[in-house]
Amino acid sequence: MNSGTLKLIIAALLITGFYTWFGNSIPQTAWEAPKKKTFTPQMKPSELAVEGKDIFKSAGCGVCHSVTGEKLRGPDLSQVSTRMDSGVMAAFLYSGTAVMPPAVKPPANLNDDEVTALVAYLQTLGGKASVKIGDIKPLK
Amino acid sequence: MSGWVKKQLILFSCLLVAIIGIIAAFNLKADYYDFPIIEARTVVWILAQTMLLFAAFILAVPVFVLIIEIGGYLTKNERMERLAKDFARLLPISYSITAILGGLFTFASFLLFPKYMKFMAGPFKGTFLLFIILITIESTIVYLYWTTWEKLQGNKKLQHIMLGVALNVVGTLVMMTANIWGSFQLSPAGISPDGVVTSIKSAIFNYTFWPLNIHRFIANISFGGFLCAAYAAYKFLSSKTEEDKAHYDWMGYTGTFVGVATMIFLPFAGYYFGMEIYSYNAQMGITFMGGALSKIWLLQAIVIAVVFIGTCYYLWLGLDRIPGGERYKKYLPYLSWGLVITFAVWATPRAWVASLEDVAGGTHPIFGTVGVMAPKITAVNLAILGVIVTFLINRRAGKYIPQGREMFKYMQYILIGLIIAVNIIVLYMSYHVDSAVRIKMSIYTFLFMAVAIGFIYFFDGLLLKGAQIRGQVQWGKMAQRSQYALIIVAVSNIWAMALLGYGRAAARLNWHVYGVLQDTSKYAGLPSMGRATVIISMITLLFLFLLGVVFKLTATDKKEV
Amino acid sequence: MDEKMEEKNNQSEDVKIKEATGVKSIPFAVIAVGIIVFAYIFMRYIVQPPFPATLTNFFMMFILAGVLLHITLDEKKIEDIMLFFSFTKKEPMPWDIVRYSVVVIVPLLIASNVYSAYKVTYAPPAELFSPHVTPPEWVVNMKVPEYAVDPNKWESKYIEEGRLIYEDNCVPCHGKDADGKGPMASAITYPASPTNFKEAGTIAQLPITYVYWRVKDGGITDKQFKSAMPGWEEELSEDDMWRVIMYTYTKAGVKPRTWAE
Repeated sequence: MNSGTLKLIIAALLITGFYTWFGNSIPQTAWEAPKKKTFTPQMKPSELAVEGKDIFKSAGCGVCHSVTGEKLRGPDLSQVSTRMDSGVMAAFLYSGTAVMPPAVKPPANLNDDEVTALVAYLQTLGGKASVKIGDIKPLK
Repeated sequence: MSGWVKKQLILFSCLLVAIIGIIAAFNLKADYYDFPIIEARTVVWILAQTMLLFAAFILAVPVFVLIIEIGGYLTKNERMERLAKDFARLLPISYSITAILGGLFTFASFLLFPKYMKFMAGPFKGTFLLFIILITIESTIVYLYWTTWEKLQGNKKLQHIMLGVALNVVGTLVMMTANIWGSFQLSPAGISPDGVVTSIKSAIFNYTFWPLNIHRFIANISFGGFLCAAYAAYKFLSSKTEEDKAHYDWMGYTGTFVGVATMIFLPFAGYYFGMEIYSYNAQMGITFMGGALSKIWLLQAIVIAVVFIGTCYYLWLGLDRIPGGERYKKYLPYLSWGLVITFAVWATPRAWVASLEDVAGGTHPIFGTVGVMAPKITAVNLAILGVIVTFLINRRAGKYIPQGREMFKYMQYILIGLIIAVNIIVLYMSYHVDSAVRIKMSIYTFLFMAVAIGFIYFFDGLLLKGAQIRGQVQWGKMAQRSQYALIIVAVSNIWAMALLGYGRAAARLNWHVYGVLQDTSKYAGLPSMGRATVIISMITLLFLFLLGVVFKLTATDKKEV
Repeated sequence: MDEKMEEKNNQSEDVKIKEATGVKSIPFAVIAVGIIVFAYIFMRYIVQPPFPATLTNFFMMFILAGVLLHITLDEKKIEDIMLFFSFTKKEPMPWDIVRYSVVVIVPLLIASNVYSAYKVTYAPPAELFSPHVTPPEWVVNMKVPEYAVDPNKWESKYIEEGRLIYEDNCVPCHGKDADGKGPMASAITYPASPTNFKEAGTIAQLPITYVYWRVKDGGITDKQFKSAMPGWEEELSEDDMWRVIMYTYTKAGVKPRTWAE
């Protein structure tokens, strides 16, 4: 290997290394292909609860309801499963603005499966999730 | 004739591998297969991009060789003839490597992504066949072109040049055939609502077919020029005699000149490409320019800044070897800082969200103002002006300006001042008008610049007509760091090509064929920019390595040259 | 030849000036260090509000490149710098301080960068960092009602109607002044705080149909973008939504962009 080759390799490594470093130094975002979340009757209640927690956060429930005991605009939900069963929870969710003041409108565009997942999550607050897909039916 | 058969053996065996892959793929049941450890997507990505870089190389070299050969023929310049031949020597082996990569790529993509490749093999059967015929012809002409170089000299040189033209025509046709598939993936046309190709003609001449052809063609010439310059720089750095240094210094300069002269047109080919993407599907345009892929443009700005400033830096240092060049050295720091600042403005991201508090779009009063489109257009215009001034200085450095022609010089100063003034006025106005008006203004500004630059060169011609030169250019009297600049520019070029190749593929998001055939494999998403840059760097280094192999295999004794 | 004469004159003048003044000029190395330090101080401390750290680093990259180019353009400058930092030449006191501090501070800076690069910090999920979410096709191609097309011709009666809708529905989070500081705002920190419409990076950057999409569908709950914003499709009529958007832009004092860009 002569000196020119070595110099060439060093220059090439330096400049590609610089670009790689720069590419990694900026905030990273990976783009995920849009996935339709699918809920199956086989899902365990605990799995549903994990999805439900995401829904609770992203659907805006936390605007009015805290899950930590903090006092917000709406009732605190940190021990909600000791106060109501899954049917009552679902009834609240489906009644929407009729029972909850309409600052935002529950149940925030959720479909039946998502409501079920949300109920499963609410059950874990002070209790244990027990509902499965199909257990919760919309109100007549 | 047996030589021809031998040369074609590699090509045919690669075709055979590809065909085996195709046949095997049609017997596969699943939609996708994975590759152990390095993932199916990465395998196909690396193979495809390395193949594309080599394809660009074997298209670039004949164009470059032809330009130099014609130049040498017209000016009776021995040195140019030697340079052309030096590069034509690379062709046969480069073809073989491209064929090997192409065969492997076809084989791998059919076996790893059967769903997509089976879809493409249906309507495009004819073009596959055409492609095979064309590359066989091309490879034959390459063989003839190289073997007849010595035979067709003197009076017969024109015949050899015609052979070179034929090689380039066939080469361009090969590229266009391959572009059918790539552009169809990006902007499919001639498709019925249920995803079946009904009109092969409109599928071929889809929205991005011509932009892709033009963009790739121009980029390839530029690519060839810069690779030639980098090769010259490499030889310069390893040469020991003054004579060798002089030759390779001249070669680097010639390569850079071809590279820069074509690179200036690239942005406009790029705008045309972007415009067609927008008119095909505005949503894809937004994804590409402002959405999930906007980070690509940040990186691209950095890479292009390196290419531009690196090239200018080389030309500035080149003043050292022009007698009289030292007169202009005191202006160079201003020019250099001007370019750095304009590129810094150009590269400033619109929103750089670094903390959760900024997610709502926290934008700084200063960098928020710099981040929008208006100053970027001005910045690019001024950067182009900086390159033009560099060229003017290079032309003027070695000459005595004849007496009584000061007027032309002042006319040039006025024009340069006008360009700057117009750009600043337009910049000021841009902040106060609607974006639609702004885009129109930027087009007029650009037209004004083009005319003004034309006049600057016109006056330059008058100014330097018949001017006495100060002395011979001292080829070889060049600082080593200028040669590093050339290498860095060439590597950045390769990197930029690999980056935008990724960008073009990523613009399709989770589609094999946009809007028609969805990617349902586990690699449907996009990697983060950081991961992508790692693979792009790997591809660049792999390509450089293979290129090194080509140069090594064709290296000859000096006596023969 | 005219120019030859001119050159000679210039050169001799330069020499004369230097001899006459007798002032030792500042070494170039000190100027280079000065440029770098000043650029950093300017971005971090002089400009208010200061540039974010990541952006400062980004610009410092350009400044460093510029200084490097400036030095390497001239053989003599390279030699000067080498001489200056090799401590072989005696320099007056202030320049000595400069070169000693550079020699001490640069390794420290590198060390602290390495340390912070390896220090484990809590970083919010990366998908939040994409401020522009790709809109669906209908958003790009949708037709804006005539009264809402041109921001310069928005009628005050529509804006007034928009105000009533805004105060009924949006104020709890986005605040009376459209600054994202409504009474409920502090409760929402995940996935994003309510938008402050007055910030340049928000609705001023977006085409009006994009804003319409966000109002109509609310926070989109796939991976691309998450927010607590509810969709208003069922609560508000189309006209209501357009009016409230017109009011929001007016209140924030900004105008929408067009897709043409």
